[in-house]
Amino acid sequence: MKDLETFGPNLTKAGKENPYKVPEGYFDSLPNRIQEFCKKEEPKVQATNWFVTIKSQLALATGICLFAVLAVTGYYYSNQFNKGFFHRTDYLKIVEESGTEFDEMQLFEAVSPSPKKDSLKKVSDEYYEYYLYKNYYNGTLLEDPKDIKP
Amino acid sequence: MNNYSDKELLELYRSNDTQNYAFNLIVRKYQERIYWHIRKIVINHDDADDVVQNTFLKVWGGLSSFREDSQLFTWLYRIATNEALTFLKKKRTKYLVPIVDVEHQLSNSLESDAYFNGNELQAKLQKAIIALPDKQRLVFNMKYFDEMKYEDMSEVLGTSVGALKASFHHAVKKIEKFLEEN
Repeated sequence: MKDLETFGPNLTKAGKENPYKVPEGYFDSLPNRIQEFCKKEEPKVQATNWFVTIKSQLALATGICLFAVLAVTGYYYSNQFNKGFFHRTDYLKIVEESGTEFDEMQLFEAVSPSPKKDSLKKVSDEYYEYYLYKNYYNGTLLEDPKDIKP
Repeated sequence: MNNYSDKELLELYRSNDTQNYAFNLIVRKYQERIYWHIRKIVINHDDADDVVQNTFLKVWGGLSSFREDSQLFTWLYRIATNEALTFLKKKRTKYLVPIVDVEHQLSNSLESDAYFNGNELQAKLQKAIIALPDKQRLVFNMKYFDEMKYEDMSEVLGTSVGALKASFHHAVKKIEKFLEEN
């Protein structure tokens, strides 16, 4: 690897001399300045170390607090959400409190269960209607059946 | 100048009574080498002064846990190198400027630096060095100016000797080309 050590002509011409300089007496005062700087910064370093030591415990405590806050908030909002649905007793209370604005019929409609809109019930109603009124002899069984012509 | 060996200095440091004294001796022994190493990376004297102080602050904080797996001066060089590179990185991110512009800034600060007394060719050489990538710049400075052994450089930079030789070779080629073209 000796060839790597040989430099080109320009580099050799430039030489190895250090072209930079420092203010006069810089290196005489530097050790004392450094010592003072270290003394001044020492408490900060210790504070950082203390923080580093309890960092993991702090993170855990923060996590637990955050979880507790989330749980309480969730519970509170879930209660508020449930309160949004009116119950039958609520209707009664509303009507009681503002009796002049509602009549008895409105109260009855509010309290009575809403009719089911069931397709099967609709079909069964149609059959019921058909057999009862249109296509079935509805006289007494004791009488002779009459011929029914369509 | 004190004549204590690194081992003696570390022993002095471990004793509570002589800790400050030993640290002062360590600073006195290595301040110039560390300063010039940093100065060649950050170029400006005031920046170098700040980085030197931060470097020795780190040394002060970490010297008690230094286990002598490596030599004291390579450990100091490693801290100084990291501090100087972190300084340049912060400078790049602080002003949101690309690497090329930072190099340009460093070149400009070289021309206006009151603490630069090199001739025209030396100024050109420094500009050529500034134009190198960080790692090649470090390798070139440590080998060319500080005449450091590749083994020691390997300890400082955490790179294999072969890779360092290759880096130095590339750096020399680039600098020669730069000096020829300018």
